[in-house]
Amino acid sequence: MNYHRNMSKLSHTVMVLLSLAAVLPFVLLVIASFTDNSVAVSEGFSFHPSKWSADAYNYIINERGTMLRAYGITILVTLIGTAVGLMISTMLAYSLSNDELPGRKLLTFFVVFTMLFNGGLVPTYLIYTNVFHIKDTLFALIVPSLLMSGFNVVLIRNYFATGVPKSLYEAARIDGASEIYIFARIALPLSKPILATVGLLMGIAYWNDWQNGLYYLNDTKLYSIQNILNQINENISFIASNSSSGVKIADLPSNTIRMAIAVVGILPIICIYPFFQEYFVKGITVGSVKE
Amino acid sequence: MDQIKRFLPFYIMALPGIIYLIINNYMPLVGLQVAFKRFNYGKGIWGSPWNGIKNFEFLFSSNSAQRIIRNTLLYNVAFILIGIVIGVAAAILLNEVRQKRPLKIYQTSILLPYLMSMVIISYLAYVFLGTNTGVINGVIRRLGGANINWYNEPKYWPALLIFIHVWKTLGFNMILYYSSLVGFSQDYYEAAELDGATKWQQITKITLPLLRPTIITLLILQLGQIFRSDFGLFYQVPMNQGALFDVTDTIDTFVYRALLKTPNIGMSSSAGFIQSVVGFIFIMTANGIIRKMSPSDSLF
Amino acid sequence: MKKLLSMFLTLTMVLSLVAVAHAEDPYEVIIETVTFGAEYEDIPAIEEAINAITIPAINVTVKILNVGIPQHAQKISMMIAGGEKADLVMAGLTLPMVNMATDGMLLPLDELVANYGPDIQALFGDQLNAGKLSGVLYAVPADAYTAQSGGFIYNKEMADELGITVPNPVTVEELANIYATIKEKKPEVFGTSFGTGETSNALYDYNLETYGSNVYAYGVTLNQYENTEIVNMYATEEYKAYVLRHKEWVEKGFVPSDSMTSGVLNKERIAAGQMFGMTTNYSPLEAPTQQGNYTFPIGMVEITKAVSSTSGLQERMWGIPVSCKNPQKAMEFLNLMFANADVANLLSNGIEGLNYKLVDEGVITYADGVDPSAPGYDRIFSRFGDQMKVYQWEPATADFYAELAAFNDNALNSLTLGYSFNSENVATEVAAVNAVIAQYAPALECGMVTDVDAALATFNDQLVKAGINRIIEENQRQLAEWMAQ
Repeated sequence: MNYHRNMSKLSHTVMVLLSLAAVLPFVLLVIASFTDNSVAVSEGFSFHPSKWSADAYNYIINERGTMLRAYGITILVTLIGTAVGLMISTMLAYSLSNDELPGRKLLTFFVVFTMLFNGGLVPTYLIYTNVFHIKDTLFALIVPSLLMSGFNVVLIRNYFATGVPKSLYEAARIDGASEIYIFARIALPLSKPILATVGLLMGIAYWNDWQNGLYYLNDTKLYSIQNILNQINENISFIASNSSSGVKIADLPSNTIRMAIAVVGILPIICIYPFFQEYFVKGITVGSVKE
Repeated sequence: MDQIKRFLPFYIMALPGIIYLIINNYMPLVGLQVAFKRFNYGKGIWGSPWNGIKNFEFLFSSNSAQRIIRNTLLYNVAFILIGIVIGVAAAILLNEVRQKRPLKIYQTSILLPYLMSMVIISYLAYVFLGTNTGVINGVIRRLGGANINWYNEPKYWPALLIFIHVWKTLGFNMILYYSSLVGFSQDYYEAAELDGATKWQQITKITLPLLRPTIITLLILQLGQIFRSDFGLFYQVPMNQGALFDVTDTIDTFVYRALLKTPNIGMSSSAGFIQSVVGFIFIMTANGIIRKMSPSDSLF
Repeated sequence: MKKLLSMFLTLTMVLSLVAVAHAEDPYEVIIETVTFGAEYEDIPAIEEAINAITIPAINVTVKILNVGIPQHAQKISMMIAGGEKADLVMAGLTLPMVNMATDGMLLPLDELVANYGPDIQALFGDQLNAGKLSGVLYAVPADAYTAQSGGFIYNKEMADELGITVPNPVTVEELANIYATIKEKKPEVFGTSFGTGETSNALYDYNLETYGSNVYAYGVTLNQYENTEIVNMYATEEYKAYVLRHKEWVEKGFVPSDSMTSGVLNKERIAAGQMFGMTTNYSPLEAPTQQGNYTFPIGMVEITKAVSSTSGLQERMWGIPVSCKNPQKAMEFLNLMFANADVANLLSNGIEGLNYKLVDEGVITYADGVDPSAPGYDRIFSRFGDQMKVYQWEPATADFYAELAAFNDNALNSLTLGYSFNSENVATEVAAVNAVIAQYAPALECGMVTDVDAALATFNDQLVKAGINRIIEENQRQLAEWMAQ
């Protein structure tokens, strides 16, 4: 029992330290976003700026209509994308986890190969715009690249293969359950931790994505929140590295706005994340699994 | 016939994902030929003339070739090894936390850096590393030391970059391993405890073996990316400072800088092609070795 | 009744004639405007107003494609690759015209201009040659008044307060003295800054032909108005002097020592009153536009001689991409844009009364009720039509047009005006050299290198190994060929 207490103490200590290392920079980020821009220019960012200001957020709030619409689109895209993506990834992964499946190795290789080679942006763009005509539709934000990745499929496959006792499948098959039933009623519920993890990763990827919007949208009305934030960021970078002649840039926000943008982009995830964590609670009830 | 009937549901379940991969990943592979072509927008991918390996020359004609390959490889090796060790350790420690609320707080906080973009991280790093305004130099001065010009001193950057990478990806790695840990049956541990096994013994005898498949899978997958690098980490965080290139220049940053002013799809494709081929070789080799050593852990 | 009937008949006949003449549906010309990517709600109204002119004139309607500048290069390349319809795109701004031409993005325009571009020919004359590569015209300059000199913009209020007069033109030595005065009187204020050093400021201090916007890998010609020898800029005495001067300025505290990493824009430092001024492009167009960035009056003076050059003209050009479905109509519209002041004004400034109002002859300001931070329309990077016919925004004055004409008339012509370098044959070397420049030049130019001689030696050694001499040789060879014609 002594070990227990020591281990527990050690865990808490390390976790608190790691958490601090992660949270302090975030606090700095928030402080930076509330720093007065002229102070940021002269003194740089710090934990205790000599002058505070919410100007950066005012700039963002100025665009309230656009921002609300963009948040709406992001939420919609994230929900649909994650749900559909998780579904097709899980089904593929489940098939791959069956070691008796003929062609399993070939299929796995087929999946892993997609993580190595890619044809580049131009052919991908051509296929999505000329064959599937997704330009300027919501599909543009959901389908390309993000819907499913080999990495996630392999992760889930691994869990199915090692985390769920095979005896359960066998027992169900002997009882005459259909494969679909086994998948939906036995495999899925037992795989909550990995589904939550992969779902979280996919959700973050959707939430943070701006590239699809950049490539496949001309209509800014469909912009997601990250498209708008990224545009502001990119404009600042552009101005910083180009001597722009004949251009008025007065109304272009600068560093403090970047910080505010980051905060605005991250905060919703932090708020939603705890709900995800419910699924991390041990998915397997003790006693139901005996190997 | 029986075989087909038995496995048909599996193939059907796999189908949507396979179709997606064909559309999203396999059909665009026709673009690989661009690496060997003088790409012309009017003529398109198929119509552009071939130009042999000319697109590859810029990568090797410069004196940078050795440097960028060395940096890319060494950083990746360090990232993979340290990522595994710290990720697994953190996951094990997190798994020891039983109280719900601290568990949630730890998980959420440690994931924060993963949510920040490298541009933002580069700014935050500057708050600490800035020569005149930086927090660290402030402390050094207070202790009576002299300012360190961080962005002009290559010797600090291998450690800094590794630290920042580990810090940013820890939450991600930890959760990956943790989700595996959570699935392990408690029975093993209870039995071990009854047998009087110490925590350390439980970790080395139960946890790590159970984690092995996950660790090996992630290792193989990461080896496939060994010739690629996180552009933001190596470009934005060191602020693109020439003085640091010896230890910060990777294949991706080099290609970016070389083609920034005169964009060339053929040349950038050639770099991507090499990165893919090297990754492919690494993955095949690693998978082959593991298949020999413990067949059940190999990916395919 | 009969009269009425005959009138009705004539009317219908006339109408049907008109209908026959324009039997085809009008062709929609998609023209891009390069901005910061903000949404402009008045674009549909502006398109409608333009259509009212262009449908009767050339049976064309217009669609404005608003593209943010950071994404511009990528977006346009992809659209062209995807065969998506676009009719007039901005070359030069983000993708060099020469690269767009050699990459097969642009249609040859020689015949189109000869047949449908009379006003373009009249306006540009020989300047059109700047759009040529190996004798073929690929783009039309967007602006006929592109003479530029290197200049210096400064906080006039601060100058007056400190009793500093900045002579016009000013020399770099005089600027150094001014920085010294500022250091003495206001130690917390910097004289100037070189930013991140990613783009060189050398061309503001010296008359340089660079053969491409901000590209120094192709070699440069010093005093291009009297010289055609192409040299490696980084090996010149002038460059060494330039670098040493900046180093001295850093040591004396005239410039911030952390400008390469702090992420603070020069404009921000000046606007915050923490910096006196900075070098920049100079032309009559600049001062009024740049004034918009500051709340205090600014002054602007010249450093180098004003020169008309290929790179100046190539900064903004109109090209017709290969994905255009009707190049003839696109050219007809381009021509009309240069001929017709109303079309040019609509594209440049929007609609009178809605977006702007006239305050003086040819000078405009925001219309009543327009929020300058979120206008319904704004042309930011693009140029539409003949700048002599386009209204200019305050603080430009009615004198602006005369100033612009005089500035361009008095500017020297670069001896290579009309020549473009095709770097295709040395693309490998160009990439390698650009990578070397990115490594060494910024720190040198920002004055951050202690041992300048040693650094310059290594730098040039690497440049030679990367093949800069082969590039310069090729450039010089092509130039000689061009001059022989």
